[in-house]
Amino acid sequence: MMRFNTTRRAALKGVLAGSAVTVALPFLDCFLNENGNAMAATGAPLPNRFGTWFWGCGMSPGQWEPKTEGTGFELSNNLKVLEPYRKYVSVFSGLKAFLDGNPLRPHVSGIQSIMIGATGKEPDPSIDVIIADAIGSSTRFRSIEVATTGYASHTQSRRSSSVINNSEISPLALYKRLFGPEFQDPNAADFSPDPRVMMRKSVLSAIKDQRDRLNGIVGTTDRERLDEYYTSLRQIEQELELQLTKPAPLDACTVLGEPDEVAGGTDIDEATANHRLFSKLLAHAIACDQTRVMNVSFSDGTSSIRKSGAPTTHHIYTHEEQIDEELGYQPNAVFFERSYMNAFAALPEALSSIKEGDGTLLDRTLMLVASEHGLAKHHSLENIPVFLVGGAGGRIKTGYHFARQGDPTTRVGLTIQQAFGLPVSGWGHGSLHTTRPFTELLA
Amino acid sequence: MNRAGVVHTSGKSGHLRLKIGATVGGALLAVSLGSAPALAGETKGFLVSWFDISQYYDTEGRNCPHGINPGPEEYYVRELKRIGTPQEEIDHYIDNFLDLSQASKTAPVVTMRGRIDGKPVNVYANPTSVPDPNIYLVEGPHSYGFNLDGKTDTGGFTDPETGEAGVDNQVFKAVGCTQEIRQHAPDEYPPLTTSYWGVVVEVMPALLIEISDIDDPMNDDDVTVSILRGQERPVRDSAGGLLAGMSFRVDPNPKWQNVLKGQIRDGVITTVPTNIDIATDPFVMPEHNFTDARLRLKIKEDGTLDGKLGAYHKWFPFYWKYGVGTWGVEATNNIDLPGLYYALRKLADADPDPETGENTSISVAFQIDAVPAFVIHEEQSAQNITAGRSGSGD
Amino acid sequence: MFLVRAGKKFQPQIGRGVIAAAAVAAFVFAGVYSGGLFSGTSAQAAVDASEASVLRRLTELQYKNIIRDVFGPDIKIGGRFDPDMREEGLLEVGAGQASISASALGQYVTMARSVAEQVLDEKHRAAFVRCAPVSVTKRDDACAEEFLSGAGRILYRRPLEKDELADLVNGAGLTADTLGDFYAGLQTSLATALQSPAFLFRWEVQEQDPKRKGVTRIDSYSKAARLSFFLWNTTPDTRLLAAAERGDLHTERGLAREVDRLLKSPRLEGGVRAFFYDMFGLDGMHTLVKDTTLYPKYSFKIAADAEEQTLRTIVDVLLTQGGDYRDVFTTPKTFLTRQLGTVYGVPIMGPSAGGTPDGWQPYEFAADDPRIGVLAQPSFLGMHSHPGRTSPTLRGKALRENILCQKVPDPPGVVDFNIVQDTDSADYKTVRQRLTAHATEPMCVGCHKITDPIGLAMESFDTIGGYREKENGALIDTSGSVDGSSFEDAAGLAQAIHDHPATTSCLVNRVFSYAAGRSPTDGETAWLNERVEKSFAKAGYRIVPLLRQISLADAFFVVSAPSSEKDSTKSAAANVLRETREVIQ
Repeated sequence: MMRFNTTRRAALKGVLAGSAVTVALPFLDCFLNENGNAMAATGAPLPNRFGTWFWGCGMSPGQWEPKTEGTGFELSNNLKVLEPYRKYVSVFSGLKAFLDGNPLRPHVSGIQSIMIGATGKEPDPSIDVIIADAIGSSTRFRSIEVATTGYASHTQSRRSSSVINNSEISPLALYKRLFGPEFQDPNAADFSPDPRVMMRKSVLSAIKDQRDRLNGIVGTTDRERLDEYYTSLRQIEQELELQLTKPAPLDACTVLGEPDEVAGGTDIDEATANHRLFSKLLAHAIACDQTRVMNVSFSDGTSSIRKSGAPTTHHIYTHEEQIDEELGYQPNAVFFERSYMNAFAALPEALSSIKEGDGTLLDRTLMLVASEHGLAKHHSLENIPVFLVGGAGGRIKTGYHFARQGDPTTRVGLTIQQAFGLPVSGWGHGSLHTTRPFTELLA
Repeated sequence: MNRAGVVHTSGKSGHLRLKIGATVGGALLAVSLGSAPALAGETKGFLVSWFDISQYYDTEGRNCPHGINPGPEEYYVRELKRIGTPQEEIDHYIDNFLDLSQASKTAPVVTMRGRIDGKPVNVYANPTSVPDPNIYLVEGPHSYGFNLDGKTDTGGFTDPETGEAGVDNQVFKAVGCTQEIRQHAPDEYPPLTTSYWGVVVEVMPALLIEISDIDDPMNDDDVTVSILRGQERPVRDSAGGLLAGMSFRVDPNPKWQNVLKGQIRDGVITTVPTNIDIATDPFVMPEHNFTDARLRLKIKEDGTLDGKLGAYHKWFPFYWKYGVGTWGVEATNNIDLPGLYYALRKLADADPDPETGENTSISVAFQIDAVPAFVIHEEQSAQNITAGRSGSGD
Repeated sequence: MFLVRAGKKFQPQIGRGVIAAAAVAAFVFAGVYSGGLFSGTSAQAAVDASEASVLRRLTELQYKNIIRDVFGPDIKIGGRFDPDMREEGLLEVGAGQASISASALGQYVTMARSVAEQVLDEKHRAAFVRCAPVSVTKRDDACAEEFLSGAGRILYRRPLEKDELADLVNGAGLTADTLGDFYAGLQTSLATALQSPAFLFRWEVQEQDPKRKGVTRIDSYSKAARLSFFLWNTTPDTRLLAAAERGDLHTERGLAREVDRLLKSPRLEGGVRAFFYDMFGLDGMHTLVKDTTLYPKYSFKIAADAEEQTLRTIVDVLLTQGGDYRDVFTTPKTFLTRQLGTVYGVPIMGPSAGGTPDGWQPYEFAADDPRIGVLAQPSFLGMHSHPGRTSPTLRGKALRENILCQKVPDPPGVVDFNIVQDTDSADYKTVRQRLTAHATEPMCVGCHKITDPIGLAMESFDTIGGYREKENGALIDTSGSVDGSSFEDAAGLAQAIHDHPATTSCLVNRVFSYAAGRSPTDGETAWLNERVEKSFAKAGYRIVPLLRQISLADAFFVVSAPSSEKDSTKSAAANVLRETREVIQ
């Protein structure tokens, strides 16, 4: 069991001490072409990355929307903490999720509109999976999911309605997955494929050979589930294959020290500290090209995050707290909204602290940052906060505010897909279907 | 609200059904077992969560008018000078003695500063091998405790709670102006004592208090207060305190069963002076043997217990408790150990040695904090279980 | 049209002797293999399986049980399981819908490797590999085949197909030669079997009943697995597999003999525990968090003890005493640890002399104590509360849904909660007062009417399950009602649940769904209501006769026609409370 005491909290600060060295490392330009945007040896462009960052219970109207549209806006109260990354931030206000007769699933429908492009029972994959299939097939992990509050089931990523990409909840476990014995340091001088890995890969054929037989004894629905298993198996095979191939050197890649074991907590301080650890690990995983897609769930939809010692979770505050007439918002709910953005800032911080080519990882990453409600008090699907953070390798323009009252949330997802070069002209179901990306952003 | 409950236990004697009156959320319980007819007064059980020298924080700063005793940077300079160390070496020493990686070299320098017949000796084992540094002693007007000897012209303290004059608490005088073992704020216990107790409480068997035969919680001429040793150790709760409401079986060894006669006046429980033996930290101070000991206890509104114990006790263990830590305690906790030794010895105020005439005991007051707990007596003939206020639903 | 199990006789070469050291390690594995029919049939000859087939992913508990039961308790399982999915109230039903994502498979691969490494390390291999390889540095196909056919049969819950076995043996041989280590070869192939869908999913193969034209049933091995997971929550032992192999499970006598054997086994307790763990949602205890500033007593130790307390209480009533299921809700007897004693405010002897050896002490409350029955235990009360305070609505909803199988509608989408808000209000000190204010809103009253009168009776228990009489200084009113019966406190509520007709019909429904991995069809529901529930009543609502009746029922093994299957949602909807509809519509 974890006991939450000050000693432990204090200890968190030192946990990732080993990572401090990363910024100081000199960059060896010999691996890059003259423009610093592609690998010299292969001419392959530096990879772009994608991530999603979810928090529950939305944001209070008036606290997050910039006052002016277009470029050059001022970050409003809730987003002030993102000031150091302002040029990377785009804000979308006024966006709406449509139900089209589907029941409103409070704290679910809104984010599904953003992630899946639907609010009903459609089996579609989430946008991170769509992007991962396009950019993540050559890395060890197609994507990495983390949740900061200690619940593996807190995730918004799924391949289908039955294949859920559950989250890693322990930074130590994630560390071991990423940088454990199976990690091939791309910058290591020598490489010899591990014969045990070769054997593991070769015996997978025994499982592949079972497929036809097993397919024959199940019904259609179960066959789909079996197909999903085999899709997963292909990814395992691919991971093994990559372990048998000498990785291309990556200058940005440095290996971190092992973090201490910490459990996520619903206490805002615990979650923030945990998120900071995860951010560093994710940044290093990206730098070492172990994955190109990451998904972070800072809380569940009905956010169970709370202040230490307080009985009331953020979610309960959103419903029960009075709107302060002088302030014009619910002070406790807004406290949490700002705390989440404060926590989020650790991720762009970690990404921008690692240099890669002519910029930092943040220049080559695009984060979709979103919640599921506007004013959560009323389970509102209007004015859902959606942000994009990061440069996406120049594939997207940054620093815009779009105020688009009543536009479907899916416009952002479509924009992202087109930015990543996917051949799609429209996305979403029913009223959420859109063929209009934010063309201003597309470079 | 009282509700009867039944505990099944399977002991060596077979399957017992032990009927108790368990109480939820409020005070507990009459004990009745099988054919046992007696329905005595109420009994409350407690687990001691703090037990150390009682100090009084004087907000007007009168406790230590000369200041707080200096730290090792000062007393090591003084001592090294005294044994003739060149200034340059002293400077170097002071700069480096806290580098614990060099302790094997630096520790012996001050450890062997004692001189007997001109030869270096270990000062902690032979505190009188150095002159008395005359550390500052508490001079303030107040201390919790008791007027143990009945004389108002000794002791010198007035108890701020009871107004009693002539309160004897000489140990407080000895420790109260030394940085790490004095109080830093009215509602804080001393830093070193706190961390020491934090360790001790996890290794010593539960120290239990049972108050029984309570007919009237405000005024009762005849109650029994038992200080007992448990068979189990305390468990901590999730906030770092001791888990309240736990059950502890009483250690059958009669040595650790102190049964005191007492009374209640206006909700304050006091006991008739007697000897009390308490098993404590098995490593450093395995037991406290108090003589002429008395208690003053009050059950607070939240169900916890706040109390004082006043008594005489051999003085040497109060030195050895820190002296055993030798150089480490002295160098890192600002305790001038020979100074503490001399202070306690000078302040000792009872039990003169028949040969030397020197007092061997010292008056002291202890602060007692305790949380509700169940105290289980296992005697086959008279099974009973008592508890303090319990249940989590406050 | 069905999978024909035909082909030449195959005689695995596993000996009959049980090595002493292995006795503990391998209850199933070290058993006797008497050989059996082995099929080389291709998939093309298999059935045109209907939608009714259920492919269930092993739950975390089942996976752990299998590894423990097959390879012994000292084999460590290090890895993270994807959370089990709960559907229609049960993880077992969710298991019939869950698939395996890449990250989950990655975890299975890691666990498989680690288990295989331990099983075949120098300390353990002798218990499982009876043959001596020709050379420890080279391939030995005969010895590998002996091991892998035995292990495969246990793990796949059926004999391996010829080519399945050949693949594993070849893989082992290749690895043995490449790495110069015979056992490394076995390791690789055992790990492969442990990550195969044949192991990770529970398969139910359909076949035509040769004696009844047009009737499709699940095959003999599938029956064995279904029974074993249902009654023991682990893989079939060798006797059950042998019975399957002989075709015994297709005969009334043979089936009854095996079912009775399973029901008499001490392993039944594991099965009953697993069922109630599922039905009562005790997995929720693993992630339950309380505010430790307000409730410093609460710890993960207490959470673990509370889960165990509920299971012990249920096992005591149903198996130890052979009692009436309804008594689970009113039994004054329970089991407590010293830690749980702090929540209850009762004294508990520690383990050792005078106490109980395992730290669990039987404890009996007075019959009218509000703390009787499992609903008044910290597991139920704590799981359906917020971190720092109670929730009559959550408690009422959980009782309706988990215990009475009644679906409580989700709250309407757009709710204005402004009515109640001020939790520090001097006017609304208790939850009842606050909820009453809230539930006067017409939009809210419908749902709260069906949850709150139940939940408010449990207000005498705080968020960690401790008893209390006051909240914020005001006396708590614990009166309430459920579907027509009124009561004054939690003990009265317990009695009302004991007497509620939905209590027993819900159990029957859940036992069936749990066993079958899906909700009953309309036809099955009728059978359950008309036949099974009546027998259950006649048997004094004792669990073992109920398990027996379902285990022996033809309906349990006959695959229903696809057409009636589609109506399963309809029967679930029929369970929605009537009064709710009236209010909502």
